[in-house]
Amino acid sequence: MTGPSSKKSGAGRSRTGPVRDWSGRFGRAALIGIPLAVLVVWTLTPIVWAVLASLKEPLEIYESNALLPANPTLAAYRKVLAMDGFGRWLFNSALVTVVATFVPLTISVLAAYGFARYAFRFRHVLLLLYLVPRIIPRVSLIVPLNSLMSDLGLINTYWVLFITYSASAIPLATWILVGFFASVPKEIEEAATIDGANMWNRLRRVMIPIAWPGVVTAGVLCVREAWNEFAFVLALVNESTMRTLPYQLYVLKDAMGVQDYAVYNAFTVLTILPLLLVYLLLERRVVDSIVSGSVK
Amino acid sequence: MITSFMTRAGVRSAIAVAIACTTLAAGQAEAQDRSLKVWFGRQNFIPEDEFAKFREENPDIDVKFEVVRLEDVNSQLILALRSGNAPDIVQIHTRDVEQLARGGVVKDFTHMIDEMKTRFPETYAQLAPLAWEGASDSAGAIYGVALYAQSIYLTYRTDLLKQVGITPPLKTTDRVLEAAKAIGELGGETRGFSLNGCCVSPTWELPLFLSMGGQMENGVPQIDSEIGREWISFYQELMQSGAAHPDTPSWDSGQMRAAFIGGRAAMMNEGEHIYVEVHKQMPYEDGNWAFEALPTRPGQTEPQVQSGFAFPFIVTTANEDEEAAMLALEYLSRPDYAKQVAIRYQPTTNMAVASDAEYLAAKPWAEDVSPLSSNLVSLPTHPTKAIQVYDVIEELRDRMVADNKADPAALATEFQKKLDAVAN
Repeated sequence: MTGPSSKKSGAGRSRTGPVRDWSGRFGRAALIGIPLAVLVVWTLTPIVWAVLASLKEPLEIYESNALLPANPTLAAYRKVLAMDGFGRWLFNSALVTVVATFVPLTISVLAAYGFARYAFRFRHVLLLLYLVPRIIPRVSLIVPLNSLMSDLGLINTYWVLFITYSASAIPLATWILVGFFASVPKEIEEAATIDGANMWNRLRRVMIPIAWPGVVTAGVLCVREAWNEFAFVLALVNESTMRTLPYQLYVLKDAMGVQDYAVYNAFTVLTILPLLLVYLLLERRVVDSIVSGSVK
Repeated sequence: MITSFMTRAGVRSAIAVAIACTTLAAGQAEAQDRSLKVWFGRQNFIPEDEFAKFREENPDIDVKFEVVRLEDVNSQLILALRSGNAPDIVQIHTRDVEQLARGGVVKDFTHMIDEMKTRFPETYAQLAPLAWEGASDSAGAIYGVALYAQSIYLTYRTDLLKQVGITPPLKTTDRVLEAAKAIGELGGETRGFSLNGCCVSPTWELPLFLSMGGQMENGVPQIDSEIGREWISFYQELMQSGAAHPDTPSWDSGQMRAAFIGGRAAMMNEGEHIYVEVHKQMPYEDGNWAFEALPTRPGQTEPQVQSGFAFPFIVTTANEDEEAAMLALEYLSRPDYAKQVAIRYQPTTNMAVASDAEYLAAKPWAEDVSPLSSNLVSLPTHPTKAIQVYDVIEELRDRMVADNKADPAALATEFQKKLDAVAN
């Protein structure tokens, strides 16, 4: 039974080979393409919706379910850009994001190198403890943090945002980088040691370049965390000059009037635009780093 | 050599500029040795001159102001007090005055209000009793001044009512239901009544409960009663009959208002401040919309109560310069500034504004609303658990809209238990 049936199927394969190849290729493309298309639609729909909503008249969003604005207008963007303090909120967001990306990355690179390369006692427990600030719900940190920062006289200062944002990002970045550093073969580092490289040079000239995709990934996540952070800034800042963009976006919500969703969406678009640009810019870098790493 | 000279010159210039700036700042500090911080609940409450005239009149007082949303102000205030940067004056909801007073967060300012009466009799006399009631606790201590207060009125499209042969005023809930159902049956996109279904406090629903003769005991609505059951049934019937939009359970106040303003609903219970937006779309003078007091039950023997709620400016315990705070309150109370806010936003308790020509021109409905707003009763609130009580009522509102086939008696009993539990 097995022989003839095998033959049959063999003959069939040869007859329908190109068709099968085509269907196989099509199947593979569909397997990758369909989920990818769903993901793209899933990701882009809210952004496209927000952009189109920002071009509508104030009441149009309520009145019509149409995606496209009836009379597209940039009035909402003009309103947002004319707001007293928009430049300041943008500056605040940018400043805290830059600081809360570079400080955690610097500390995390050193910490991750130590965790990945040195076999000291309790390092696994310590690495686990590193995650504790991320495990505790952010809301439950607000009152003790506010109390602590009040005692230090840091409320309504940039320092309070630098410290809390950085402290929140360090565990995340460290955990990502530990994985990347640990995957770098020890032999490469040993070769560098034989060539006379000290620890600092090994880290700077060997480990970081090889683990660069990890550094960039951790950096992108730090940027995203700092740019979008809301709970801490709400609790630790109450002067309008110290607000960040997400805080001001929240302040725009007004249940006592008719919510101008066009303005709200224009503000949202302007808030996410710099972050999107950073993503697009660094995504290329990450890909480049991965490719160059594979060639090495 | 030249570079070195330029560097030295640069350093010297920088030092000179720094000294000049410091001297200037010190001079300014000497001139303004009193300071005052005010938190407004919304940008719209800030006077247009942003205290310019106040600074001119009181050059020794440095005023700073911020917008801290009314929704967040209580927690922000407590955190700010803890960190030593709390405002001197803060705008809050009336319902929270007593709770914050008992918590030692706001200051009994009765004596300074008396001083205001003496020093600024004209401004004082212009303020309605609600200006003080809305900023007082149940013992009568005054903590500031409630310059802006609103009430909820039954608002309707007269042109649509005419189409179904109903002539306003509607007066009672059965007539409102009849009109809403008739308009709903007209077909098309227009519904009879626009409601809130979620996400906002029950400040639209509680005034109707009081208007229908509902009772409050120590700030707790007594919903497990005949009136309470009728009140629940009113909302359920609007939903069941299709007079309200089926998506209402997901509607917040914005969607409720937009449905009326956009002509997709014929009626809503709403405050006067929204009439500014309604007027932009449908000029009041055209006579296609109108309003009246909230309806009563048919055959109601209890008096109709038109309740209101204010957004008082309250003096906090962080304030050390009582005179400066009193001067700022008086400044904000002046008809010129109260009028600006009243024209673009919330109605004011400064009665002088009501007869102001500019105000009347900007708000053509003002004269019609005046008889209704002149007898406002402050919405009673629980002295210490007002927010918790509101949360339960909000949950009930969401239920009676979403679960419109539920037994109203069962809902009333269930939620009365919840109310009693949170209030005791």
